[in-house]
Amino acid sequence: MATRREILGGLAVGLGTLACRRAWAQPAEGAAYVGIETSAATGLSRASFFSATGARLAGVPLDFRAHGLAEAGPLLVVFPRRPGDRFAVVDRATLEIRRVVIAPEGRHFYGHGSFARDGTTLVVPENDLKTLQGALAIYDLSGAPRRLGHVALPGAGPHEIIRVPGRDVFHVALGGLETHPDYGRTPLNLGTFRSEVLTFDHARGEVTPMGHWAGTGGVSLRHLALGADGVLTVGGQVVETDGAARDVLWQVTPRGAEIVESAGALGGYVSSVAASGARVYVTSKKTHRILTLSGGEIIENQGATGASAVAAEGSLHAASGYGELFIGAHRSAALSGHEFDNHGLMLRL
Amino acid sequence: MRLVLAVCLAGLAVPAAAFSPLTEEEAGILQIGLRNTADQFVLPAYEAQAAAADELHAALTDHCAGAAPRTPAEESFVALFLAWQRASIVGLGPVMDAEGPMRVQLWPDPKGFSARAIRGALREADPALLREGGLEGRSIALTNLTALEHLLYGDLVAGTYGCDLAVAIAAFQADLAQNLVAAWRPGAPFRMSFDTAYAGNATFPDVDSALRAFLAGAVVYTDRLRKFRLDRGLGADPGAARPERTEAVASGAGLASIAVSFRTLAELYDVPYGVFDAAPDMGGTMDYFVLAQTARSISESLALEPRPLVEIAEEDGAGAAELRRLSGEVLFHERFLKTGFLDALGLVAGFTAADGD
Repeated sequence: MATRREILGGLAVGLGTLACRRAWAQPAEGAAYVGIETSAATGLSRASFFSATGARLAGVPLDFRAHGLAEAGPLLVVFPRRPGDRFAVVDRATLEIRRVVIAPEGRHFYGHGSFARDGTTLVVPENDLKTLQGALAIYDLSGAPRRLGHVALPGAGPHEIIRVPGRDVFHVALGGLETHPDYGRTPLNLGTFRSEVLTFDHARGEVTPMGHWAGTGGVSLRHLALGADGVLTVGGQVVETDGAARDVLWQVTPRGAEIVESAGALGGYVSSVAASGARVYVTSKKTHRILTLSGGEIIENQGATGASAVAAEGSLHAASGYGELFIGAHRSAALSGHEFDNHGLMLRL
Repeated sequence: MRLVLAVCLAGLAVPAAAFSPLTEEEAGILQIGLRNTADQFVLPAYEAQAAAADELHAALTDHCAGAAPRTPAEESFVALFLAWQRASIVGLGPVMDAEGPMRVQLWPDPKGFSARAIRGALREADPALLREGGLEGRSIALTNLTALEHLLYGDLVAGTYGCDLAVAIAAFQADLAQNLVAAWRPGAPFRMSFDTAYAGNATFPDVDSALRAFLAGAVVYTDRLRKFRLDRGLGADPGAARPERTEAVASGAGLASIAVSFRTLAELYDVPYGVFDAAPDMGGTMDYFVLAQTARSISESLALEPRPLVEIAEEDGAGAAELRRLSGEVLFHERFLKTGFLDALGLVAGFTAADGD
């Protein structure tokens, strides 16, 4: 029979274990933002979690250079920078990497993805290296990740994908540029490419192009954000050296797609876009600017060296340059030897 | 040096961008260093490339007219190829337009696009390709130096369509190089943007951005030197060499390309009052001085090696081991150019922006 001392001792170990498990299990509790930091020495990234006041809470080291992120319930997915061939599925509570999903032979990802409403179906833009045409890969993450298949797209270079709130309908920026990792990141069809935004209806499996908008010739559309007012903001990038004065920002309303004149503030290059309510945030690491738009007008123009990642949720928004992250009025520095990379994500608390 | 800078700075009255950590004086020092580098390194490199391309065009024209043997054309090809290996460290400006540097050299070319393009062109023998400007807008697979190497070191017979196509490609490359020269001449629109980055303009919001763009090109250059020119054909370890994957197998210029690459690094660091020389005036590092010496020494040693790279890889002996060791040396340059130099100046490297997306 166990003695009183033994019972109390066992109980203490049990309570201690529970306490430790709790401490280990919630390393990013209270995190409001997750950003990507990349090491100069290794070229590898980590997903870094910050509180709403800019406190660094935790990080998840990755074995690739990361680009964009997507979250749904307990899952956070970190996508690789083009032409990465893997994405990491992270448990938001424990920050454990549950799985690293590898692209099938002859395909690579483009750096972004988005969850369907069920929180387990993941739609990921990818490149078919035989045809250099884009596709949307469909994964089921309800258990061990399973590739369900893919939907071919009518062009090359799909980049960011976002879901329309309350529906399983997605918008995809089809950049139009054909690339093959054997030839680096050089576009192989620069003289002939056209870029457009597509709509993908997951239930029907249908892809519907929005058509080529005026002014998009020579512009690769890359990044998207959908405001609460239904306005879709689309940012593009110009490859040519003399393209700095080109307009690279569009907004799609019921009236159609209209150019947002930015008077050269974007240098022909949009790094990221985000929207919350009627406000839209746009960054450019070419000009080091963070623009705030409302009603299609620029209402604020701030500077940050290497302005790139931007995210917004409710009244809070975050943006980072190479070496610093701004969350609301709070500032955080990048880890030593690291830089904040292209994208970040505001987490739903 | 200070007096020189003070005089030069007098023409640069507009303050640096508000979010640059540099003082006005520091921004001016860097601007002058960049301008000197453009004058003494970038422009001469492109001028040498353009001159070599003109010589190749003339030699091929003579050969294809039956007026000269093929050897002068082959020698001119190697001269142009090596001139490009030097100029390709410049990774900003008009060279990055369209398909970028692959317009000059599409290599590595694992899918064999260039060979296929040449075979297709020879099969179709379209006379339109041979007319002046006939290659404008055509696939870079057909118009780059790898394609020309296939033609020149294949069965190039005077008076044939293939020979005339080689002349047309050389003319295309000469025009391309002349355009690069024109863009970097003082007063040209791009050069004006580069020279006035200090004041901020549509291309460069501040001098930091111009410096980052310049160094990003050099980082890509070192990365290509290590991964492609050295590692790709020699492999990581003995027994892993793949001779057919080395550069410029047909022309035998692969080893000279590596030697030129190291010499190019040394000469870039050594530009008098160039961008690296600006560092000590700003409390920055002088690592570039040692890096230049070692790079020059490596280049001189490689120049003494009589065997072509493909033969060294086939043998996979001591020569291959020495070249593998150089791959590690390149990493010192890569780190310095990627972060070391900018860190020492108190600037954020911005390496994550090198390729965009």
